[in-house]
Amino acid sequence: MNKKFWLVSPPVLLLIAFCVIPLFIMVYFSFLSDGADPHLTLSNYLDFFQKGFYLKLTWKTISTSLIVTIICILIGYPMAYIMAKVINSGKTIILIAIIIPFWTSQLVRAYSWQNLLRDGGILEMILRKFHLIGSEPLGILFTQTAVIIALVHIFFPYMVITIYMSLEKMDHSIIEASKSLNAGPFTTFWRIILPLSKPGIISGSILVFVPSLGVFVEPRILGGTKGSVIGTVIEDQFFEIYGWNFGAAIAFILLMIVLISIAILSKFAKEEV
Amino acid sequence: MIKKGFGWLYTGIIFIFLYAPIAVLMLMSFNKSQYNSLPFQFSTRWYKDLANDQTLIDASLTSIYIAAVTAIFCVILATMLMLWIVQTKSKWKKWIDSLVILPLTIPWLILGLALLLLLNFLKLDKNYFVLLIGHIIVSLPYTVMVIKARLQSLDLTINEASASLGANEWTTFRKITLPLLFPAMLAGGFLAFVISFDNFILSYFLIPSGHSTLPIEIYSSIKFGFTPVINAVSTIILAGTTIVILFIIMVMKASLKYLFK
Amino acid sequence: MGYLAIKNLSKSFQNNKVLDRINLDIEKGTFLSLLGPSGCGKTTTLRLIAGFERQDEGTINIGGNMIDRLPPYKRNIGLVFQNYALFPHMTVSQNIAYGLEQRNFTKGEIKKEVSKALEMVQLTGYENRKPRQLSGGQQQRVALARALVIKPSLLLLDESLSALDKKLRVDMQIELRQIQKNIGITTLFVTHDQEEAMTLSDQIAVMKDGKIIQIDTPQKIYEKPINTFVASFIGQSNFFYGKIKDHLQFELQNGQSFLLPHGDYSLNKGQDCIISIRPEKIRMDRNRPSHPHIQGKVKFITYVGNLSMYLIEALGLEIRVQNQNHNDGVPFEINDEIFLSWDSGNQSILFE
Repeated sequence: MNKKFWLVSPPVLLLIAFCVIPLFIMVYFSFLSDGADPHLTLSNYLDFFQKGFYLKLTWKTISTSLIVTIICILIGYPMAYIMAKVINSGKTIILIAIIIPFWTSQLVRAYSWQNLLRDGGILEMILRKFHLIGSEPLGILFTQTAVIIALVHIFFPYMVITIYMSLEKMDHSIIEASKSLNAGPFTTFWRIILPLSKPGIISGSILVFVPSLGVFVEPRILGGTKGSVIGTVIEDQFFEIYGWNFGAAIAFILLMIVLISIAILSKFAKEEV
Repeated sequence: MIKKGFGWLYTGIIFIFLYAPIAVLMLMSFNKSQYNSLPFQFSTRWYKDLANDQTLIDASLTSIYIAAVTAIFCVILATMLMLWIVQTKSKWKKWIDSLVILPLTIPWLILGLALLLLLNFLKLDKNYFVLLIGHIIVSLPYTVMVIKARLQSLDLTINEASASLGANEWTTFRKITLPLLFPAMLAGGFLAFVISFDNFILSYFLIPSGHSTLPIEIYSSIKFGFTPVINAVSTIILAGTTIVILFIIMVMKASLKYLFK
Repeated sequence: MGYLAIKNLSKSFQNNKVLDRINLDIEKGTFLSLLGPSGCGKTTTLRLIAGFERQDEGTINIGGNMIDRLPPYKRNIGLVFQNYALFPHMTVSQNIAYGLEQRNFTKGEIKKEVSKALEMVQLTGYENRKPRQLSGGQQQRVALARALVIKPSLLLLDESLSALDKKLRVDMQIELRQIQKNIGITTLFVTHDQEEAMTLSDQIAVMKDGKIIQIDTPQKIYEKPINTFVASFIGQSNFFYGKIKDHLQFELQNGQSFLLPHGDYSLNKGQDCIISIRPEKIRMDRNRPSHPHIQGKVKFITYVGNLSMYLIEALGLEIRVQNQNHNDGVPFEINDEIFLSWDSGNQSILFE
């Protein structure tokens, strides 16, 4: 059979020309100085690493993503477990209902939290009605909390679906075997189910943690001035300040963080099973 | 029994979390008040405003055009790629596999600005050509996943069966592969459409000045304080994408019926 | 040269020699089974003949025509796949008509041929079913009809019966063989199931590691295997490794010796060889016979209904014996002292 490279070359060339090469060009720009007569320089990177502001920002970005990931695991695991092992009807409908918001506009979903979370908004009114808060304003919108809530809302379906798939794949007789060996439900979960669903947790974590690193819409809409992360700073560099070369350097650093996180998490995934 | 009850309770709570913001948004789009304030008074004024808002309508049409072109190209490219991937023994396969999912792992923010820098490097103005390519690149992995899933569920020996019965490769593609792949191509195309239509970041970076897409309009409206028209337009988007997604799911499910067992 | 002639056919995948200079020469109308364990190269042979792979060396001739350089769709070979590979989106008659359409038959001819083919496989009335609405056996018949309706010059069957359950498989074997004989089509059947190969074939080619070890009729393959591989792959066998000494004396590698049944061993005298004897060809007696024998003790008995398998300890070896279960006599029991013997005509002298 012939190799049929004509089938594969158009998409591959497209991806190389407009995805791989632009990334290299980005790296090139990150080493250029500003001004009318650009020359190669390290100053963009030096600026980044010498200013405490940017390092703090980096840490804030990473920690926000981490918190989002952990919350997603904590609330997503029970959901996946319930779908896979507890209920036996309506699974498909639940699955579809989880997937649908996931495919709807990320922008609209971030925006939808504004209505809910703002001072004088619906959440505040409900909480007040149940006397859970006093007369003070809710004060969640335009804080880091609001950003985290929205990010969990946006990425949580990834976690549920990957964990669900790893649990669903699990042979039920393994659990029965564990029970027949006199292990209680807690031991069975801790020693059998949890370790076997680890690959699902890890790939879910990649799918939540990595995109959380690069967001800028949610921090912008819901975090206000307190919401700055690497993403918003890059946006500023390109749309407000016009420091493209510095922006390219930050983007490259972000890309490195992304790739390193993927590498570390996939290594965890490989150690299993 | 208690376990099951608890399971449904938890599911309910999760669904409140997932759907409450969307529901509130939809509700507010029918609220008369300019400032989303309560008590709720039913009104369709924001939809009427929307119908008269030429900027939003133009932006929506631009978004639809972009999404349609993106969808068509994604289907063609993904089909070509997958037809090759599933039957190749090439040592390049692994590399091409990871190349295709590369746009999934790179934040779209970085991809958008990298394409912007490419234009700058080539001393070109922002244009629809690169904008479309950006949209195609980020939507392609999703179309690929749908088509690949379908192709993998197909028994590839039917292609050999076709050949042994005297059909050349083109006939085999036309009469065997294409009809069997069509539902997935349709679903993959709609998926690319949805992703492209909702895509804000790449358009934001690459749209020629003076033009805009719907997500860009929404973003700037939100940034400069809320206008209830955005509630209305968002409701339409949510309803529209939900219908499309349900359609995709139905097509994929129906296509499973083709399977042998 | 026979109808199907394969010469020096070789194929490697990534430096791994899958086929090593295969030669086959069979007459028109023959039903030949390629039998061997997985990885022996039988499927590769089939795929080379069908044209899905290209050989490194060697030639394939059908009816005097070289087909090596033709693409699969020009070879006019009927193929029945292991999983049938029916087109799931087409009805039964569309599936069968597919090959005829490629050959530019008119609508009327196609209709006639399809109904003839359906009649042949006893599926008249199933024209408009989709493959998924058929049972495994019916799918199998459609696949067979689809392959035969194009009047191929050769029929290839790739483990075609193995997906069926045992009882259905036996029925299909008989039906397949009848259809094949009626049409008189030369058939190559790839299988790893020795029983199936024995029942169906005119000839069996036993393959191992990319080579054909022995081609013979089923009976010859069973009665006169040429080496221990063939003897143990087809049925069971006891092997005695050792050397033929004087006066029927056979010295085993473990130092023990016994007397061979009466016969002429002058050709192999003094040679290292292997005596192979099938379990059912060994006689088992309670009383010491007058002819050469081996004394042993019953170690283990497996009851299999119409017969019993005995594991006998003798000469420091374990010997398997199979006996019909008759009503007469007292059944053997564990630890019974017994005497084993056989006729020289039933043993094979092997060298590898």
